[in-house]
Amino acid sequence: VSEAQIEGVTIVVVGSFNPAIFHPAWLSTHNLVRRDEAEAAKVEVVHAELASLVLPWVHLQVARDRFQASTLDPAHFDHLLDLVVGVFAILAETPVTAVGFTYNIHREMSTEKRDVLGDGIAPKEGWALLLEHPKLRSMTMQGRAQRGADCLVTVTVEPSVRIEPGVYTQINRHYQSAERNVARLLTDLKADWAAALEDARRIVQAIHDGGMSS
Amino acid sequence: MNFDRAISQTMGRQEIVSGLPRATTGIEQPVRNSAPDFYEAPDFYWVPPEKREIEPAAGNESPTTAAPTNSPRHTEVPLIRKPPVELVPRQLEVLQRFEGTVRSVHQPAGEMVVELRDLTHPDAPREVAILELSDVSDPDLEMVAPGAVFYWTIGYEVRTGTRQKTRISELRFRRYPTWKQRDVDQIQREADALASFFGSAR
Repeated sequence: VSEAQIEGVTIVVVGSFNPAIFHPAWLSTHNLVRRDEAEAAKVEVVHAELASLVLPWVHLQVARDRFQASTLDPAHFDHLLDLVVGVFAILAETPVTAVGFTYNIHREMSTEKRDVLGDGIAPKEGWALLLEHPKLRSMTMQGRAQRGADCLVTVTVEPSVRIEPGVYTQINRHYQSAERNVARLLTDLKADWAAALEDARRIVQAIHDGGMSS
Repeated sequence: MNFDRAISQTMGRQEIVSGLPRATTGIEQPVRNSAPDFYEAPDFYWVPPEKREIEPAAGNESPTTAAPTNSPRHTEVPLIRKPPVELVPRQLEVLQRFEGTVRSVHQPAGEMVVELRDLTHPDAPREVAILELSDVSDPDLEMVAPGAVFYWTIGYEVRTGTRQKTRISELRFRRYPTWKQRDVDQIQREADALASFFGSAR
């Protein structure tokens, strides 16, 4: 990659949680993170309603109904999965209804190329009959995954607000369970992990290379 | 791109739009993404409800969609500004990535024999290699034992601003919760039950 880019992965777990236990010391005690990382953690808040802590490579945010772990370090994508699997191996009785994998990327792109990309995914001819100077601000497309597990995939494309000029693309894969079984959902995510990452990058490449307009 | 300041109405709430473009094609800068901004939630706790810059849920989003990392910072001035704590992005051009399993450790020689699985080329055959223990970072040395799993990333790290590339090779061990004696006992009981079942069925 010669362009500037910020690449990240987030795992979201929807269920019923106790945010107050999510403290760096708890993670370190259970061997989920290194001791030096736990000591270097910045704790924004650990409270009955919300926990938010930033370790050198992961940001954890836990509310009563939602657990979210994010990293912006491509060398740690697999460790993020290990961390989440490890957390819920300990909290194995947690009632969980859904798990999501989200791949985010901000990539530098000239405004000219970005305009071509925008025209490719949302042609303006029809809009030009209704609006002066139509511009695409955000697009969200949803469908079933073509690769990996059979799950719902949501793709969002917008101009980046972090790299200007640039494009932001987000790909979310949603895994649902009627059984409310966290182990089952995380096993599904683990089995689908490599395919999910590969498919997300394939989708981004197709969008950025103009594969949508052909 | 030339921007004008403009005010628009969205969902009955007035908001400042950072600009309208003069260009006629392509994508325009969004005001923000439509999902509630969980990612920045801690900031909101210090802002009165009527001042919070949080949008109602669109209603048709997947509940596991991560909050977008594409949201601009808030334009409202909160009563108390809590310093933002954010992850520092790392731009990495990954050339090759392996998953390794330690086969044996030779402390006197400062080496370990490992089996490598190429994650970049999953069809490639597994390889056996000898790695130096000095390649393992100090906090991970306690993890080095037969059966331990690690990730080995080789690539270029690109420094923000200068765009200077640095070749990197990182080993990091996988961490799982420590086994408790009760877990081991439970597995032993299950194994005994299975052994008994198959033994009696024979």
